[in-house]
Amino acid sequence: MSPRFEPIVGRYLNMTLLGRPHRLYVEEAGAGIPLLCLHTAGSDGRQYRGLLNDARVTANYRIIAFDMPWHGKSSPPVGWQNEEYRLTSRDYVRMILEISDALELDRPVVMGCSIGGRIVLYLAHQHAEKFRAIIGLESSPHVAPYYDVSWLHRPDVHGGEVCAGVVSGLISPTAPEAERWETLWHYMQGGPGVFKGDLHFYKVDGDIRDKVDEIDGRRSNLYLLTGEYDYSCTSEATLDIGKRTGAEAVIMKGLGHFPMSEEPARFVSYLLPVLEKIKAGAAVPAK
Amino acid sequence: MPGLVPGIHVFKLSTKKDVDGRDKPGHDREHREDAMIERLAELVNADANVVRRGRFVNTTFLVEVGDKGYLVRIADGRIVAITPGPFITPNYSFALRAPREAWQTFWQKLPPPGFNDLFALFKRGLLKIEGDLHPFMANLLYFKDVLAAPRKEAAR
Repeated sequence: MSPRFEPIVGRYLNMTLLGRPHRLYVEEAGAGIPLLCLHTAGSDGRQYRGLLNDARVTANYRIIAFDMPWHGKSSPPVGWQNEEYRLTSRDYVRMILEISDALELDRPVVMGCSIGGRIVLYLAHQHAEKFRAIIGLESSPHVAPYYDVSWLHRPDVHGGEVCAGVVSGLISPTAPEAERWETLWHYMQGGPGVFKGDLHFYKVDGDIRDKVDEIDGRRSNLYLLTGEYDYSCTSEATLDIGKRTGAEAVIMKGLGHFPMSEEPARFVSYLLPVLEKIKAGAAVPAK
Repeated sequence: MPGLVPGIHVFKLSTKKDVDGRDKPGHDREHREDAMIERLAELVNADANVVRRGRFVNTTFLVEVGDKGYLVRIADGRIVAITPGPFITPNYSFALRAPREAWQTFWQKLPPPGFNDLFALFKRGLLKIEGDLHPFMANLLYFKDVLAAPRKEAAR
């Protein structure tokens, strides 16, 4: 294999986030409409590696994927050793808006998966005007706890192994082996208690069921894409949001809960038509 | 106790013979699952990667296929005994119980959405996981591999 660099550029962004100094790792590639990508709980921005490397997307979009604080190559805030990390909808919304402002993005498209797919519903509800379009991957308004999440962070169970074990079945059985295990590796590398802390948002704090009917899917340019093998954010939940908000909802065959990471090429085949529509709409003055 | 256990452990259990001669519907199907469970030992022990993943696992767990139970004993990641019920006082760490039809769908070569994983069955309410879950959760990828092993031989 001859050596080659990928077109992705990664840098560290120092900024005040949620009132505290933070050092965040941010990757980007491409030029054009800004597309801000949000990773899943307990993982990091590497999930978007396929998208960042796909010339069909980067030709018209500037893709930006940041690692949330505590995740990937972003540091936890100073003093983290004396805190229990717990993500809330309030902090998550603020984080996205503050990072978007810090990067001086002009009405970006925001795309999030799983917890990211949940928080974009909050953005569509509260801040639609700040985004030219909103894409929810594996979006659901609420997921009731179905196992005891305390297993994810305790000294007598290896956190990396159990986090990967918990999510492994969310990947489609048809996913290529290399991408399946890369996806699991990211989970194995999560810091202690971080996945569990994200799930506080996903399963407890981030319940948006009573606001779904107030979301205007057309005004906010909301698109929903969900993998058929996702048993966490189910097809039924996604189609229901589509029906209630007027958002376009598509169920992706042969994909699970991590579409951009478990089989990037297949995912892009579903994403491209959406990006085309957004690009075509961008030529039209804002509604 | 690594090092203290002799090399060959597999007790290949013959399929339970139908000795009462009754012709009841579903009987062949039941034998098929019997055979599948009993093949677990061979399938798991022949897969060096699965055995390595479970190299610290030493426990006995219960699998229930409908109302039929099997105790699966594991030593250092290898299945060393599979004992079909009925049991008088079964001794096991944790139990996985699901209806026969759920396991049949789970064991298809390419299971449909909702049946591809133990946690998928669990979330649908088809699988019950009970008992001391520590060995199960601490070795989750391993136990998922063990229970999915019959897929390797599934026709479809």
